Amino acid sequence: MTNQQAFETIYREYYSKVFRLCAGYASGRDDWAKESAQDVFIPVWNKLDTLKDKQALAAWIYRIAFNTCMKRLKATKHQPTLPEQLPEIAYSPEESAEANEMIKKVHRALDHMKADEKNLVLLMLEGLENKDISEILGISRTHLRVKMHRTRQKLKTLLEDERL
Amino acid sequence: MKDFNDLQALWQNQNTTPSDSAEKLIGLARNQKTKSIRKHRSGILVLSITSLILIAIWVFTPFANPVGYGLTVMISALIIRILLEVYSYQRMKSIDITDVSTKYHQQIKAYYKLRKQLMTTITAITVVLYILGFMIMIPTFKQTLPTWFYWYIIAFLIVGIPLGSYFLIRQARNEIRDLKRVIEKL
Repeated sequence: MTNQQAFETIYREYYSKVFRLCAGYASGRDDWAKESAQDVFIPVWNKLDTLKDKQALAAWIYRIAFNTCMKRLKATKHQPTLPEQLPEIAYSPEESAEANEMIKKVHRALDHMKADEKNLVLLMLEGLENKDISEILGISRTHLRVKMHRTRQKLKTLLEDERL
Repeated sequence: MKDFNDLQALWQNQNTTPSDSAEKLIGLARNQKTKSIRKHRSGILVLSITSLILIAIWVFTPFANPVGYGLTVMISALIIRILLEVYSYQRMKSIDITDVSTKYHQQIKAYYKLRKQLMTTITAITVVLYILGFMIMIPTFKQTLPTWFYWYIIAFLIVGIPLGSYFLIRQARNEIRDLKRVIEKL
């Protein structure tokens, strides 16, 4: 498989995941997430040759995505705000409306979280393994387990808050 | 709240189609890489050509002559600047976005601080040295060059130094403003 073919496969497979992660940092803002996702896949293409362990592809892409979003957020003067439109969710219309409302609520909850908690929630929602999360965030696995527990609790409390 | 696993499933069900094709993105990546390399290299190239011209003049200048001293100061200023620009370029190239987040942010912070130093202290020192080097040569110019050419150089200096400094300061200010914003938030 050529590099270009490999990239095309990766791009197709990971675009939604990267987009979701970026959208999570931007309160679900579509245009910001789109630009960020583009910024993520540029280094993915440029650095594809340097990836030695193909098994570590997912963690590698998330690391790039996380670093890109952090960098972009720090360079952005105005923080993104919650939009009306969210990415499509494949459900029936009723379920879809309910699901979209829940996703919006998650975005609002994320807005009420500290940066490190937000990072953790987004990586947990993507279903990454603990070893990958600890490596991406640069914290020990023991520390991560404690943080995960606290952050889940905080997310639960926020999502149960009627005012959110 | 639903169970976290349900929430996870819901979250992961959000699917988005890429607005750009992979080919377009590859083209964009290639373009950006070339642009970034060209931008850095062109600055270094201009400085290198200028110093090479000055070195060529310096070689043919008589020993222990004010022009030779002036040129030495100017060449030194340019060489210091070139070396630091090359170092900054290498540091920029060594920043690895695929690295662990903490390490990546340390690398970025260190690079931004280096750029800030380059744009402030180092730029000021090199510009002052460059002007000083030129000033050392002025008395010799007065003695050896035709009067009109001598006054042409003086007029050029009177207009050129403030104008050049204005553009240099403006460029430095813009870069520092952007760097400051990023450093503060790191």
